[in-house]
Amino acid sequence: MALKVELKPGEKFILGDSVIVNDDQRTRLTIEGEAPILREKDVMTIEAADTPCKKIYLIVQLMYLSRDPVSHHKMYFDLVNDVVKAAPSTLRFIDDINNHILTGALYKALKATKGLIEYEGTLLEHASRGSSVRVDG
Amino acid sequence: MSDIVLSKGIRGNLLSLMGTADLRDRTQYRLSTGKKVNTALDNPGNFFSAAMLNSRATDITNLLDGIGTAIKTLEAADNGIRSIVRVVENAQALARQAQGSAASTARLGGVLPTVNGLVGALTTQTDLTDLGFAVGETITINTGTNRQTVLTIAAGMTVGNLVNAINDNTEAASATGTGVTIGSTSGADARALLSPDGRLVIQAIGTQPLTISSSNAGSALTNMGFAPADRTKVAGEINVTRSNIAAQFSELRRQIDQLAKDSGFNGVNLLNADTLQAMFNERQTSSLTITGVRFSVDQDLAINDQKNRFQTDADINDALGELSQAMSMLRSQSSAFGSNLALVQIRQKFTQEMANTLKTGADNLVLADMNEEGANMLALQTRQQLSTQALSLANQADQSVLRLFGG
Repeated sequence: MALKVELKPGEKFILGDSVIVNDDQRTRLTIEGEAPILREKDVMTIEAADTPCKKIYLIVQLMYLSRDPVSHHKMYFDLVNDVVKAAPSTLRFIDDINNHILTGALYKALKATKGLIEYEGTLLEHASRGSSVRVDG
Repeated sequence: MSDIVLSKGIRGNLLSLMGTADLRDRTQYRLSTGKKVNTALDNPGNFFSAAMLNSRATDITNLLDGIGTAIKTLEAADNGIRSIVRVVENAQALARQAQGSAASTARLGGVLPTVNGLVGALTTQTDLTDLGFAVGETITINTGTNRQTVLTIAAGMTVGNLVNAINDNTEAASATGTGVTIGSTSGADARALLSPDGRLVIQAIGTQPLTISSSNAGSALTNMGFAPADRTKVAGEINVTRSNIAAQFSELRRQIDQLAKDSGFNGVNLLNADTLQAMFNERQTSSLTITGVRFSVDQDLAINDQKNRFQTDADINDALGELSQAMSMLRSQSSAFGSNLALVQIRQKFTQEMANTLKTGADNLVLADMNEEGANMLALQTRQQLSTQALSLANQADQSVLRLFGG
């Protein structure tokens, strides 16, 4: 199935092993084929991956873009197990991601990881709010 | 039972003692099970989600048993192929040994032919007219009374046609091809082949005399390599070494079938056309189907039994050709099973990790304390920044397309 991508001036996206950068005008592309595609807004860079779950997103993204996803499995489970130990309630997201990876649906896994990052946000927010209460108290 | 009257104070003390005992029991139970939530009453939400996750982990562990069986089945098939390869190698060695013992039946060896007036080599493509035959003339191979193959030459007929006419006629089936006629009773009991240096070699399959003749009055037969003195051989004798080797060959051929039949695991034999389905998730949406092969000598391997007790070189060459084809089929199937095995093993490892993660999570499922989990996550975030893990993650990212994205 062909995928339509609309790019703003200067917008980038990843197509397989390449990064494609749009010039200074709006562009509409139709892409056919099996190569992984990732839009700029969905790309997690190593600098941006500053929380445990964002790191999971990064590694799932590496699997999605890689020709050899298996080489990232070890790091994936290292990161995931750390998160599950710290916050077991993340398990329902992680179980979902696991299933997608196992069935080879890496793009779906990536989308499911977004849900995990959102949930992590609420957890971290709780923690920072908790500490401020303690300061006040 | 007589009534015991307890004062209000004592009753209060007793109740609180009982409460303490109850709490102590519960704590002990938690300590012994390692779980903060053990019953639905402790914390219903977490109890049920922990129970669900535990049962998922159990499902997945059951799945792992299935994957383990699939791996064993693939390994059994692969071992079977290895054993068959060894038997085929033995059969090849036997056939070569037979080749090394010179044939002793009547044999017209020929000398190097003269093609278009020049001494050269015959190929299956060599046109018979290039040797001096004319369309309509015949070449006759005779092995005794009423056993002869007659090839009537048509336009474009080649040495290959002649070889096929001779070889097909010694089979029970009738010869095919234009211009081929079979002798009055049957074809000649002979087999033909082209030697590596390009001579036509014709051999009787047993103790028959052998004659080649032609209606061509000129030097066409001489050109083909058969001078007038070399056109007849008296009856030879059976080569006993070759007969013995042929018997061993038949035995090895039977062993191949036996090995293929014994290559199953748990009732599934991939070498006997069974199909193996490995399930990778408990929802049965992810699976790998491995289609087996039928590695019997009469089916996919297509190794025919020895013919004519290996008395002629042509028969041995046929056997060697079939063995080498079977060998390449075995090798390619072995590598196909090998890659399937690697795939299943990767899934097995992933599924194992998945089950471990689920178990860890379910066992740790604490009272829904967002603050505790949040604090843990913050601590993890800090710990990760200082760990070598971050370095190795950055390394993995650098080796991917992401390195092009940063700049």
